[in-house]
Amino acid sequence: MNTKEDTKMFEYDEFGLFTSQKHIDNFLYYMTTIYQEDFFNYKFFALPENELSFIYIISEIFDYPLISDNQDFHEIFKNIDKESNYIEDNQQEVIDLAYGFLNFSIQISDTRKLPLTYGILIKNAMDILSSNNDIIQFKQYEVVNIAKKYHEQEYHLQSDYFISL
Amino acid sequence: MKELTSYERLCDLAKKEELTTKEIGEAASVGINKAKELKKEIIQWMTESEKYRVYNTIRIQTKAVFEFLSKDIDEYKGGY
Repeated sequence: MNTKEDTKMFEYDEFGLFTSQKHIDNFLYYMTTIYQEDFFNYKFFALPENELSFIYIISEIFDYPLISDNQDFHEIFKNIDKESNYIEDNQQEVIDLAYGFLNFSIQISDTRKLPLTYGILIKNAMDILSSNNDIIQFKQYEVVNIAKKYHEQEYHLQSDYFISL
Repeated sequence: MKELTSYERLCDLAKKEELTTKEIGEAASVGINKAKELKKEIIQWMTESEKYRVYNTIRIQTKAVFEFLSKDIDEYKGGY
């Protein structure tokens, strides 16, 4: 039986869209709670790109999902406010950009001081937001597709484990 | 107005393994903007019908594109 660490987390992530284990885990959690119906019925283009880019950033910044079952975006906003005392300046800057993406606006500012991973995060979130204007690759679809495949992989591992018992 | 793609060009496309957005546009005789929409429709159809698997959204399998456009790929694969 393979443990979680043994599995290749980036097996389907050939473009490196997810930066860490917690990133993909949190993102998957938001997908399965907020967008349950579209996510499980493979309607990836139906998902709103502004909300996806917001969630994409939030799931990397915080170590754990900010909502529990049956909760929505209002709870995420509330919990971000609650956490605001513990957030670093760098993180706050990225969160402000994420709020902008949620309102379909991209504010250009100097991001050279930010760590490299945050730079990649912002770039990908911008690509997700402008996915409809992209002729090469649909990042909106791509990100959710990776999460879905990861979910299937996890599900198979779990069922294998129960069979082995 | 976009001209119809020639038979020779369709044969060349049919021999390829995967097609880019521009080549999808050529196969359907539409411009790049329509091709973008078309590519999205094809990807959605591929996942919903579960006939093909989408590995990435940069290139799409030629067979899937031709089937979506109701063209017989074997006819074009024979060459000219």
